[in-house]
Amino acid sequence: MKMMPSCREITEQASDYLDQNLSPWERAAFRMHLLMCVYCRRHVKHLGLTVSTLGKIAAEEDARKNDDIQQIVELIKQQLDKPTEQKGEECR
Amino acid sequence: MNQQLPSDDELIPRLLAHDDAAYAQVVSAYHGLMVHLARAIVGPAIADEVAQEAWLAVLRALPRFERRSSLKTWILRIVSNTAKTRLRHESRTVNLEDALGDQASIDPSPFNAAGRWASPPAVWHADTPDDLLTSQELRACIDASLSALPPMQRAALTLRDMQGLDMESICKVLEVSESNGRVLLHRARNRIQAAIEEFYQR
Repeated sequence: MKMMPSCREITEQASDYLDQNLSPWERAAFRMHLLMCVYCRRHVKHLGLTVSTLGKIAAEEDARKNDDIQQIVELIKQQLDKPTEQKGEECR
Repeated sequence: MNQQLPSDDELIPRLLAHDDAAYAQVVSAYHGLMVHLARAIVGPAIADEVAQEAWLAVLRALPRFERRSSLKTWILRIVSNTAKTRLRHESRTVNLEDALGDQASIDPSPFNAAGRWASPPAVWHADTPDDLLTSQELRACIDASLSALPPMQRAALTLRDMQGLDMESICKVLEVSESNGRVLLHRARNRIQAAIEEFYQR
């Protein structure tokens, strides 16, 4: 049976903890450590903030971007027709 | 962005029949994501080109698509492979496996021999992403550390934390095992966190 994780181990598990990917036992030990360790609480909080900040950055980028879908479709179709020009595809 | 995208069952036959409206629907739903993934792996300069190349590969390979994953995951895997191939061509020195194997994540360990904090994390004067991003300087730090990530780490981070894909799909897309996928994500997150940490420690 594993003892209480060290601070180093907490930082190694933090990402899986946030993604709910620890076993129930690991999760319980992780939380027990957090209860007692202000630095690890801080570390895990910061990791969560880092992740949500990345999401925020992505959302801002996507709001700015405005792809011209029709233009991209046309480009793809042109190139798709190019190398293997099969005649009569559209016959029927 | 991709509201009311029809199911794969409906879309695939229409794509195979060269239905223009179906083309427009998939491009509208997935092109942005494809460019994000391509950019994560090959960088911004040729990301659009890689995404286009991947579309051609997708539409050519579609008759042979075996439906072992969703259309979305399959398309993204083609983007990933197209990008990795380009990356190998562009810079022969880049070894994709290095992206997995690198150990140089956090330089001087902040822990003592017992695994306790020797140099504890600084207090960040921010409680929300908006707080963090009000500093242009910090924003620049985050962008720089994103660009400095090894390609596979950046791909995992982009798909998970920036585009919201689930881990199982990400591992299929990047063709890595579940545990390697988690390692990539963990290291990438740590590096971005370390960059923010460094900012607050100055």
